[in-house]
Amino acid sequence: MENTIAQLRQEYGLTQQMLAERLCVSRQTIISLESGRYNPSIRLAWQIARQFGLTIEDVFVFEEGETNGTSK
Amino acid sequence: MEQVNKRMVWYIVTAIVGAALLLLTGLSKLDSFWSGMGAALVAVSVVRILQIARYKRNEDYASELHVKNHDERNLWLSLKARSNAFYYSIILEAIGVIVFRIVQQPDLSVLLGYLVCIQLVIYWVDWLVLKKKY
Repeated sequence: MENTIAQLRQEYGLTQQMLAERLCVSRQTIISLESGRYNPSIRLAWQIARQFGLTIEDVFVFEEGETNGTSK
Repeated sequence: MEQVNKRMVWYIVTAIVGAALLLLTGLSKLDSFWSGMGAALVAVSVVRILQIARYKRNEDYASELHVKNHDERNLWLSLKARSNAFYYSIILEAIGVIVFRIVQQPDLSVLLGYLVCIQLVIYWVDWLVLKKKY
């Protein structure tokens, strides 16, 4: 699942560490999310979207044919 | 914090049990197996008690540990690792059943066979319970 977290984070002038602290997750989780290696839970997706004042659909792009779990 | 204090009490109890096992082994009341068990209990408990003490004193460390323990990716990785461990264990044990039968070790083969069966029964029971729950 593709997402715009890295782009949004840069627009808001946040480092990965700062975003991680705001979301109460590890920096490694942010790295994995940004690279699309890890798909977040609905709760974390909602928290991320809310962090940027957007909806989940604005941040995450679900592609037809994707399965649950990790993207790759 | 109440949960942290409960854990502290639990680890103090296990440290005392471990020390008692070591003492009883030293007095030749128990065999050497129990001294190993006692040493392990003491070591793990002491490490955990020190960790909890640091957690209570140092807010940065507490925050770091909280994130580490509750980070959803870490939890997912842990779950995935456990799932893989179970999967590969079953395969290796099943191979072991055949190999031990070939090398004329029927007892080990049967033992491993039982182990595979027990693990699969636990898996299916758990699956059925989870299916009802969710």
